[in-house]
Amino acid sequence: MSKYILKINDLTKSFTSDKDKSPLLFDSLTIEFPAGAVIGLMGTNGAGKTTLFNIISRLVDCDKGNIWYDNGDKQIDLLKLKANVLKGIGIGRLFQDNHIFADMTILDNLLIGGEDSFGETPFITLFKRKKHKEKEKIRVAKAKMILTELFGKDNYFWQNRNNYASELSYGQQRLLGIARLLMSDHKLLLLDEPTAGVHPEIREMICEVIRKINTSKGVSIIIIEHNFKVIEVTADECCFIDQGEIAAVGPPEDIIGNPIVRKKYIGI
Amino acid sequence: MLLIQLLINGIIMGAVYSLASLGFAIVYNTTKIFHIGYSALYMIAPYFFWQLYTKLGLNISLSIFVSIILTMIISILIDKTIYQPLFIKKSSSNVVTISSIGVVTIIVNVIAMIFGNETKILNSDIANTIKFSGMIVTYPQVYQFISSIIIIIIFFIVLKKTNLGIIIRAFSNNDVLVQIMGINILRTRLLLFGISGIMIAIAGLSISYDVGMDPYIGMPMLLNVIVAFIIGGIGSFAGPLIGGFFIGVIQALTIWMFSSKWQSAITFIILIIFLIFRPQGFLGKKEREV
Repeated sequence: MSKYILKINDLTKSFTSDKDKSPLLFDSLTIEFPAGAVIGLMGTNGAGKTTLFNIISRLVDCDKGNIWYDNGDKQIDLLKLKANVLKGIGIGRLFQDNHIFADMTILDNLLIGGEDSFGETPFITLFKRKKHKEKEKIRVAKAKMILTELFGKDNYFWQNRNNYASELSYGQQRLLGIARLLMSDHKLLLLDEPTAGVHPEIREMICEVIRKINTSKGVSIIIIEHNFKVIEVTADECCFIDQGEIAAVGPPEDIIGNPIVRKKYIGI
Repeated sequence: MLLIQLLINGIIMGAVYSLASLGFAIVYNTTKIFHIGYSALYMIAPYFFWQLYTKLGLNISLSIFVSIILTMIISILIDKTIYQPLFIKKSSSNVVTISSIGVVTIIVNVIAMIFGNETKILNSDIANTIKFSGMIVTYPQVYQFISSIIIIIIFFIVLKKTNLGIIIRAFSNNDVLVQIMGINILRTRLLLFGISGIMIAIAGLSISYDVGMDPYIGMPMLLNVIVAFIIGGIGSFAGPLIGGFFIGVIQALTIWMFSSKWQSAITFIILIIFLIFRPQGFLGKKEREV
């Protein structure tokens, strides 16, 4: 039996809240995502990729089904959890557009991703300054280490860590979003079009970072992507969703060469 | 001399507007609820105080403390029993605003039914005053100013220096992403409504102790709070402070130049001028046009 990180079982989701009358977006969707791999999730607009991520992230409810997550010692049905619990069990997500806290500094954007970022009470912060400073120092050191690992020693993010994140370019905001995911020890990352709308240079950098996270830390990654090249470079396996159903699964080169996929994407 | 005296009064009133407006901003900036029910909390706090202090004979400090706590609980209950179920059902902001009007109507009517419509005086003594350089400041005014400023300072220390502050800032920035970062936003909302309830309770108590109260004092105050909030800059936490002091001083100047009857009219003329020429207020961000 192959080891999975996520097993979606019989997932059904209707388009609107009126379940009886609404057409189905997912009708008994069943799929397994292998552990330790980068899986590309492809599909035309409206195929249900982001909705699937929203259901996994518990931001959207579904009508029925299970999503089993392998948490090492036990299997957890994600549909029984709330969105805020996922970080604690090792699931992180990068949104398509919603990836940073724009009015917070670059450093605060990273620190908020830390495992114990909210563990400290205001009392300790304000009145036990020494204890607070020590914890703060560890968190800041971790942020620095992650930025150095990903972007080199004299990286832009660390040098400008006290600037507002809104001052970063779109591509840099994406990179910051990915770096923040590393502040916690995740087992599974859900990346929603991480390279959409960015400069080719940043795109390459993002691909490199995704591979690095997967190979050096063994993190399973599911990545929604339209760009064939990104899929080829990053993914070990690929899955094509069409109208809420899994139309094809296999190695990226097979999926990209699949006539159905090519017809849907480039019309030939 | 009269102008300076009026300006001092305006600054003191401005501090109270700032505090009340900050409480409104805490709710709006995070949950995007236009919390009209906030006006009922401004009124209900002094009624709690009146019941505890005048009727039950508790000492003044305990009465103030318990009134603030009870108002905070009402504020939390409004979110828990009305706004949160609507949020979970994904109701539109219009539905939430209308329900908020319902909250005010119910609370005002219940208070009027229990305590009557007439004005109640919390402090019937002639207020002691502090005189300096020909200026006069009453003790209730001193309480208004000091209590408002202390609460504002405490809030900003928490906002800037603590993890709770990071949660509040993150929540106001991106309420979806903050959930993915591990924050239970329903629980955080209760905390924010609690803080907001404390702020409006202090504003309500300090003003009513000076000028008395009736069940309808909330709405005129809310209008000033909203104007201060919009002029200060929607989305900002520092904006309401600037807006509050600005409104306080403008109203003082209105008394000096025209009469106190013109205060509300001038306040709203200024609001309209802002909405036309600087809709983002003093500290709000201008939206990108394209």
